[in-house]
Amino acid sequence: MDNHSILIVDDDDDVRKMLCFVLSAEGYAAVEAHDGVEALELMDTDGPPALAVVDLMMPRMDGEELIRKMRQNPALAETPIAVVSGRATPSTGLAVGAHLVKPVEIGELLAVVHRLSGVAAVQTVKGGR
Amino acid sequence: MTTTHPVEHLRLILRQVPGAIWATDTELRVTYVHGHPPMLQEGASTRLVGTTVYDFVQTHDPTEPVIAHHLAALVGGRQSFEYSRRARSFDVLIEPLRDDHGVIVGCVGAAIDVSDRREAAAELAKVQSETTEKLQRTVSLLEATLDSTADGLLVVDLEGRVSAYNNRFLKLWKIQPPPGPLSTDRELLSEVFHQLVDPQGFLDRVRVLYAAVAEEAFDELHFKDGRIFERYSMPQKIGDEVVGRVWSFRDVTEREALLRRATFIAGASRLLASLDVEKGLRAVVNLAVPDLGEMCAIDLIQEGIPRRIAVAGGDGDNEPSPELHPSVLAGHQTTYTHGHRSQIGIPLISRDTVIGAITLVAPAGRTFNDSDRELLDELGQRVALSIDNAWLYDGARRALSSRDEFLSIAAHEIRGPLTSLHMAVQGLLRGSLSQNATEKALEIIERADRRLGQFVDELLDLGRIRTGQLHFNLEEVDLGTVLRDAVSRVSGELTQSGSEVNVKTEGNLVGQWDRFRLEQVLINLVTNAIKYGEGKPIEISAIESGHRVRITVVDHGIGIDSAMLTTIFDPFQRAVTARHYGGLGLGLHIAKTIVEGMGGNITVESHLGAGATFTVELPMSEKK
Repeated sequence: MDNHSILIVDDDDDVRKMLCFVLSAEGYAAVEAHDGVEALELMDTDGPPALAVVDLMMPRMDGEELIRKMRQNPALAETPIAVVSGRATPSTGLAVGAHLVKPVEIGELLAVVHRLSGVAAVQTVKGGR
Repeated sequence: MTTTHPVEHLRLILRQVPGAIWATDTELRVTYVHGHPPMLQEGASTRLVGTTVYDFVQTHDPTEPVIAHHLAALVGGRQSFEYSRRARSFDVLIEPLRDDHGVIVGCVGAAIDVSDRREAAAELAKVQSETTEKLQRTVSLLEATLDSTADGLLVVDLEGRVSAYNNRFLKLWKIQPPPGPLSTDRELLSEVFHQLVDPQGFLDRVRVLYAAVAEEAFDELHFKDGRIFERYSMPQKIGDEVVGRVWSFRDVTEREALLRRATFIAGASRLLASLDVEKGLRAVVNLAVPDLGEMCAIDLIQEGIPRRIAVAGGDGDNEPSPELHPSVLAGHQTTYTHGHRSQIGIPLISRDTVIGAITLVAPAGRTFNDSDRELLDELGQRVALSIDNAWLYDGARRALSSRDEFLSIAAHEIRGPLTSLHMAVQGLLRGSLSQNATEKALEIIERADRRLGQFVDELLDLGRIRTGQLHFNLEEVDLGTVLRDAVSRVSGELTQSGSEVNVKTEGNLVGQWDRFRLEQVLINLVTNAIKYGEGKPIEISAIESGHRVRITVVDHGIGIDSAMLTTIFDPFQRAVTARHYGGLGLGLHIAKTIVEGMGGNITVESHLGAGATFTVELPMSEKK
């Protein structure tokens, strides 16, 4: 993972995969983690991503806890975070860059990623069908 | 004619008076006449002078009254008598006539018609007699009223002397009818006022009322033996003048007791309206003491044992016995002795079950009477009702909250597959996905479709279970086949999770079961093993033993908290908190219902962090 990667953290395999596919199709480098623990491990080894897209409801460590831990870690304190959840209004008291509501609209997702990650979609490679 | 001076005077006076005057000599020869003497018999001559009195009455009989009176007058006796003639009445006066030397020379008589006066007097006497009779009737009526009234009455004059009383008064105050006439009220009452709780207060009040002669007063009197009287006092008047005082006493003990009881019940009902059971019960025991008893306790049966919820009136060591009397526990109001006190136990009954009891201890030396018992029965009913209401409310609240939780979790359960479905479709439509991504997207759509469909089925099953419409279609089924079918249905999830599955079968596994439902149970258990298995190996076995099969599904994943093991088969229970895992836990509830419906049972063994083993035992056929 490097400063241009987007980290996707969601326990639902299918949702996580689709998020990655969509972002990849738009030219982003997507990295996935199954839950908060895995996410921290990844960031520990590879450094902070350009943006973390975090699902709130996850086993072992949920989204809120992950965000708290990130903020407590100086290396990760400044990492932009977008939160994804089923609730219409944000419930966390934590400052995050954006709040996406499931089911996620791809257009919205891309706008958020573009805005928060500071990474321009590197190559708009329209992959073959 | 020679007349003496007085006669001439008399004549002048008598001219004013209806009557007659006459004078005679000593031979009763008339010497002077004025008017018409009434003694004149019919037919007597009008020229009377010269005639005699004998001629008046036409007889010479000296005993004839008129003659006798004249003769008596001639010898010096003043005669005054009544004379009636022809329905007229006369007052007659005959006096001797004396000359200047005092010698009787004759007599003079006067007769005055007093008929009208006599009539008036007779009329008056008649009226008086009638009035007296009326008065007597009234008095008799009054006396009858006095004795028939339920109130005790005492009438005294201004000095306190008794003018009237009735028997009820004597009875109320328990005064023995005294042998002689009663004298003053003070003497009367001094015998008995010590019956009162506050005798001095009573006397003071009486004194005040005697001083305020014209005042009306209404008081309550409290007796040491518990009786309560109402006393009404008012002045006795004749016209505007106060001549005495009337005291009326009424025994209202029973009325007050009924009132107190009604008030108590109303008060208790109000307190019991609170849905906070303990608070309501504590208020009731405090209300019951000291009116109903010296100590009061309420126990509720929880997990088969009576637990004291509220108690009032006792100190630490002195309490109604904590052990409930067996016949109270059997549902009967029971009075018994404990220590040296009379105690009463009232069962609290809700829907035919004894849920607790109220225990009351009577004050020393007292026992509970029938009307106490009736009141306590009613209290017991109301307390039980209020407890029932509180439980119902609580149950409803929990059900609602549980339903709300359910709805929230259901929404979450749907949202997952919906999200991936939505993104997959959108991604495909945008046409920007890679070949690999496109294939995966289609798989995801298929999976989402299946997940959603399964969830809907589970909800429907839950509905069926709830309404008792879960039907079984029993047929000959090979468990081994069904097991392998189930595993292959979840192969997608299996590969995704990376878990390895090992299936072992032993013995004859053909039995009478519902194929569809059996597969449903197995899929549920295997899916759970995959979900919570953390990718570690899963072992499934189906072994015949005797006339039963035992199926086990073992995973080595996150395991289940032992505290949750008892509730894991209940609907809407999750073995992990909703925050960390989604899922309703309907699957296990449905699985349990199905297994038990086919005559089997399902159990689980697990420790946190050490995986879980689910065991299903089924009879080969439903007939045992």
